[in-house]
Amino acid sequence: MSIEVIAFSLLNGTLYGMLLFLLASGLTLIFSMMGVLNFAHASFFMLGAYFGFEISRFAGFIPALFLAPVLVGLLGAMVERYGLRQVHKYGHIGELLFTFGVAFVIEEAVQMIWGRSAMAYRVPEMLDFTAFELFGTAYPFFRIFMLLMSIAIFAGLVLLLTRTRVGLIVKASLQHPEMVSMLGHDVPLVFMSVFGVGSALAGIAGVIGGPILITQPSMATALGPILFVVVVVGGLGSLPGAFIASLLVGYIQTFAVAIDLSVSDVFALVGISQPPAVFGALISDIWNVSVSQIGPVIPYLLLVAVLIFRPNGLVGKRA
Amino acid sequence: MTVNSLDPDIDQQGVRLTSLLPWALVVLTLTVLPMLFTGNAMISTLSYLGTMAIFALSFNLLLGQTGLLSLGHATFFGIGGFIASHAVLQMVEAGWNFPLPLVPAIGGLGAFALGIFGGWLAAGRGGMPFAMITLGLAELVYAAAALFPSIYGSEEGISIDRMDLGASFGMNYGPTLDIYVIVAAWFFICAAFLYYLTTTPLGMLTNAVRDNPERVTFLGFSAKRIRLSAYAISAGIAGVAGSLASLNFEIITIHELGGGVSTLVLLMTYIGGTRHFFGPVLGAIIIGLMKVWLSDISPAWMMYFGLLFVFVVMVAPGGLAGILMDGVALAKSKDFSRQAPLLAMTGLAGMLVVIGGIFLIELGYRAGLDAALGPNISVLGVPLSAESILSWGLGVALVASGIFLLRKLLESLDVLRHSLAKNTQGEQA
Repeated sequence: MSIEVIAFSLLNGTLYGMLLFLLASGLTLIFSMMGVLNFAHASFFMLGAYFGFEISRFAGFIPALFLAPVLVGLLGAMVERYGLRQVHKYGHIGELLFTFGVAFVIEEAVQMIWGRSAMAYRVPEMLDFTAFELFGTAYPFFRIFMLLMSIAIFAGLVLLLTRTRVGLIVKASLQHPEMVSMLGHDVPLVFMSVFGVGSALAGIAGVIGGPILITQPSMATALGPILFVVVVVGGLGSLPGAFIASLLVGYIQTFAVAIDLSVSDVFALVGISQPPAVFGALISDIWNVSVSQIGPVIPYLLLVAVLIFRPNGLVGKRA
Repeated sequence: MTVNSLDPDIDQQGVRLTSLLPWALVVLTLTVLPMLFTGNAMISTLSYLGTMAIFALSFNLLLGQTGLLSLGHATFFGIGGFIASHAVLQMVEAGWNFPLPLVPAIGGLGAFALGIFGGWLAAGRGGMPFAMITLGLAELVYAAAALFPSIYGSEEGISIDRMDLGASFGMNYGPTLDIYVIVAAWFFICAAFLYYLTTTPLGMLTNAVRDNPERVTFLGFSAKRIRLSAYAISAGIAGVAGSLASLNFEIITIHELGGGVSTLVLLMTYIGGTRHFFGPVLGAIIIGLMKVWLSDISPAWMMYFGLLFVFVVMVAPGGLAGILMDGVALAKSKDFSRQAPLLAMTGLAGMLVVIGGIFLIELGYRAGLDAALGPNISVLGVPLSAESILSWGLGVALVASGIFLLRKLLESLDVLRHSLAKNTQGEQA
């Protein structure tokens, strides 16, 4: 693997990881609040992409960047207010199933409105230029823009949560809702806002991720499980954990695609070029497996391994 | 039939007779069904429904009885199917005359063995972690299956010919009716076994683990081992269902392992009702029929399916079986006649919302996905057009007025029930 591939994979891995963190941060906040993973989170991401596409068709990308997340956030707040809050009395399984159902309905609604094929959501022209050249290959500015956006939001979120009164109330409401309510704060409103803001973050990720990842109805189901890997591996409810796991999964996925090596190459190094025929078809399957094919499997292997050896995640509290 | 509602006061003989009656009905229904619904397509649909009913019953052993939400149950359904298919292929090659009806046992045993392994990984904790691990394992198996085309086939899957194993039990397995007989027999075996399980100490312990795992541990049982047993048994039965599906369709593809099938069984089971033993069967039949018939009529069937699920989760967590049982209990109660007019009106208002919703959704599909089919559509006999404000207005008006009426009616129903309850208290005093 050349230095060139490593440099690009590092850049793209950081980018993908930060995009994952945009989603994972909202999901983690919502988890701390409800005690349940929100299955519809990736669907809000998808809605962000579709809203972004639709608004940027009429009003341009910059208005879309602000309007689409607001719309998604409002929708998220409505889901919390009129859905989740009603289901709360049926316990965690009920809440989980509710978000599951919402994700299902959103996917169908997206297909109903926009059809099953991918949207022509492209990088906006004003951001479509080369940022710099690295080893003779152009690196698009839009990716740098995505990276900067993600970092800015990450910084903003950290500042909001650690340096402001709002952040204090939110953190207190997550840990001791009764006490905060006793002190005269509207805890249900705080919860609704957290859900709304979390969904809006997913919406932003959708608007800026839509042109790079393809905007299509299956984008939620494709990203959802990876997102769960991130929050579980990082440690449920831990923002720093989600950050580390996002980058980790980002690097794993980009590097796996970049490595062009298969099992047969490894054996070729020791001079075996044909699979031993005695083992039949199964061995020849394994023989042809390359690292880039294993790529999609690795995050789930990581998830299962973490759940077995460190059930509370990399950063999570020890049980 | 409620799970574990055995009343210790009833003498043993009485219990036996009343508990045998539903099973006699099951056998009767299974025998009569293919006589009522003849024709290959119908019988094939019946086989499909039976298969899904077994699958949903196995899922409810986890969700309803042990309180475990598995998000990857299709893994065992699919693996059972692949094991059965490969078993058939291998035995045909070896020239064995293995009776086809026993093939699902092979798929079931294979899935059971894998279920023990999966349970060992997943059963340490219940609740959320369990759901996440099962999701992770299922995604892992699904993603890894693509790497082994010789086992899982590539896009075209693994095909078998169910007649290749030859005739046995007086059937040659060409006609769809023969497959229905196999499915019906396995349905009876699996349902009876799972019901018997609820009466055993293990079945009772799974309920206890669902309600209070900590206390079970304090009583000296291993909650993990109980979860593991439930998981493995459930996996085995799901494997039987997968095997039956592969025999019915004579093909199994990698999609049977995927998240879509896991979602389907969860929705079937929950919509049917997890608190009654036969709830999942009801769900499997209704959702299966929706899938087979509604998908011909409307492009929106998945949407209805999702909305029905959200409705059940929000309003009736007992599922359709729960609604049915509550309805029966209500009809038997002496206050029913006084509540009936209000209940009927509530039902009508609900119908308004449903009809308006159907109008809006069908119009939505004509405006979006199916715009190529033209704007005009006839829904429930009403001609509508996706380009006319009137059509949309009609839908919105129906939904809005329905919701308004529902709120009012439910309020007065509440008041009525309150006063009725007060009266009964007064009478008792």
